[in-house]
Amino acid sequence: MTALDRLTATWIITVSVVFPIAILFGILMRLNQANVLELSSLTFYSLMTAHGLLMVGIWFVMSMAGVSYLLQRYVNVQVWPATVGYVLTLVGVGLLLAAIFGGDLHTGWYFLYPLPFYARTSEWATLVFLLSLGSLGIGWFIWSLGLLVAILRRYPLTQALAWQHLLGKSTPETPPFILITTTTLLGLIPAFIAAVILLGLFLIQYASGATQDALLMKNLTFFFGHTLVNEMLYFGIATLYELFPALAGKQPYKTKPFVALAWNLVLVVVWTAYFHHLYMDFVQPTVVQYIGQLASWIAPIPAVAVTTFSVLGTVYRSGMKWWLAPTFFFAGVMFWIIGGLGAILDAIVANNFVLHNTLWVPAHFHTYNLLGNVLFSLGFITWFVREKSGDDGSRLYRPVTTLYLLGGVGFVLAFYIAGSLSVMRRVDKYPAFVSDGHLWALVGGLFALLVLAAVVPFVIYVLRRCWRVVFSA
Amino acid sequence: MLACSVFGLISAIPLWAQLNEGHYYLRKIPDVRLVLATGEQTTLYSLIRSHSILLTLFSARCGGLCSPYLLYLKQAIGTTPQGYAVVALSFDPRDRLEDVRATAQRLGFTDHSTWRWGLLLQEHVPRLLTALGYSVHYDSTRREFDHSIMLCVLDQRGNLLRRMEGFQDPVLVWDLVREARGEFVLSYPIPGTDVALRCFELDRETGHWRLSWGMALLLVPPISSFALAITLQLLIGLRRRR
Repeated sequence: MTALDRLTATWIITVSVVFPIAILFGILMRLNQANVLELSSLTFYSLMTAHGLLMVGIWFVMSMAGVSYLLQRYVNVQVWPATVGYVLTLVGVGLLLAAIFGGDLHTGWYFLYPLPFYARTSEWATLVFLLSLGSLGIGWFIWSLGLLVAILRRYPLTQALAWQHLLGKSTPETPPFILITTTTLLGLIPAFIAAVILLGLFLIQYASGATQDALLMKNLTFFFGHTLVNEMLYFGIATLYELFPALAGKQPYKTKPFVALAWNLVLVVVWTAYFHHLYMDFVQPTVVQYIGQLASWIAPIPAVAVTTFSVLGTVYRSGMKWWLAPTFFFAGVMFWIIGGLGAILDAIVANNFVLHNTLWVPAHFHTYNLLGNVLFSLGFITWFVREKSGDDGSRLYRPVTTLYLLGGVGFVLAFYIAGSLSVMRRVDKYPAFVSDGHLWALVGGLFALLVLAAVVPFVIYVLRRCWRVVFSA
Repeated sequence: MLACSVFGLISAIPLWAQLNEGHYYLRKIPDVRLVLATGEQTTLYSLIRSHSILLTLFSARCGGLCSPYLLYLKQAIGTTPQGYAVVALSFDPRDRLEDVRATAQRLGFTDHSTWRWGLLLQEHVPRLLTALGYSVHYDSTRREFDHSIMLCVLDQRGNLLRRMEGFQDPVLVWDLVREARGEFVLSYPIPGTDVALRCFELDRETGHWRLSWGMALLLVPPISSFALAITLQLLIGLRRRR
């Protein structure tokens, strides 16, 4: 086993341990909204903050860990940046949990300005939270930079971005994995820079009391948050492009001009798509709102269309042997389309006026995360486990996929239906006149229990095999 | 003369306190006791039970701005509020109910069903004035109060939603009325001097805005990303050549 094998297995163990805990937080929230449990408002919002930040955090690092591992097929990947990323992630998560559960930080995962200064009971929680952001940001920035340097050592920038394919040349060849990883890394780095600026402004206010421009802070927050969430999906897609054809017994994908065009477009447009989070901010200049609307259409469509046709073309008449990994990848792409469609509907200004503060929002982001991005990473994890142990988890295949997909679909459907009934989001208890909220929270909570029932045996299966990788000679 | 002193007082309030409406936004206003011009003893919260209210304070003995201000509000808002209530309360400890009634009549409010006129119980006055940010200073030589003139909106839970000082464009007064009716009214803090980087600046004279350095700051991350990638590429190339 190489150092990268061990580090990847360590990432998998860490993520696998946190995942069911974060699911449990979500279930507690839904059961509280269903009036089955009686949590205090503070506990509810603390759980909401922990659930959101942990889920985004673990699946971002897992998607990046998958890409780091697969990148060694093409370039020489140094382990130390990923190790720094791991250590600083642990520090960051530790500080974050201390702020949430020790200092009652309950800002929600967006931590919108000025909430970190108010939504806590202990003043130190603000500083600890900002330090945790700093630790996570620096760790991930170093890790991203390490991967980018590794790529650029082998592929010049223009080649890594497949510009020669855009011009119709077929050589030198840029594998789709390199193209998508490069565009994703170049997309991520600005998100981290935005986070650094944001953090600096937060710290200035913390130290001096000087207030910041709320509009600027919100723009920076979503530049960071929205871009991070999008790019982690693209890391998942990179993994899929690399592994899925082989799982179907087909030749690796080639970078066609339209593939190169789609991903180069994504690189630029994804930075402006976040403007759709600010439709309600009437002080945002109108022209920016138009850009947000257009970018929200342009950013996902090329990537989704190209990937979907590629995946369907791969499966068609392939004689694919379905086991955990290909099922996770295939289902992930299909639900990515559904979640993406839900997101595009919400990103249309006229719809956003109706849907913005409803459960439609968690509906679509849970669709492309729980049933999209997480499945891409679970696909990588099962592939990795089979590579290292030879066990493809065939005994778990039917129960895990059935429970996970059934539970996941029921869970997000409860959100969609409640959202279409205008049930509001981000509330711990629904008022009496929103009786639909209680019912669909209960339905969602019960289906989420099915997801948890699928995840627990899967995690045990993964932990036992990855443990051996970490401690192998 | 008195007008000058009142405006002088307002201008003496720090700029941020005058402009930063957000400083008061959603502040919980205490449930003070009062006596209405009808003689009914009640509380502020009982007045907001059925409607949000527009609240203004006055002194019946004020020889300065109170009467012109109440007349200005009457012209701007009208005398028959719908979907909200207007409450005018005397804060002056020397005022009696007769004084309050006389003021209402003098200003043309003969029907008690229009605006609600009343008198604050003296022991509750300081709490209310502090919560509203309403400044009062007794000038013993003139035997008059130097005080703010202010209109504010309280919702049905006693939260301060809007607060406007001084004589303003009636359009702005109607923003308060719409807020009291529960309509969505756009508002954003006017640029102060305490924020270093703003997305745009507003010309307070013309109402025109222009993009500012805060918005430019949003260009830094993507430009830095390309600059970083190109720099890395050059460094790797240099190292390879060596």
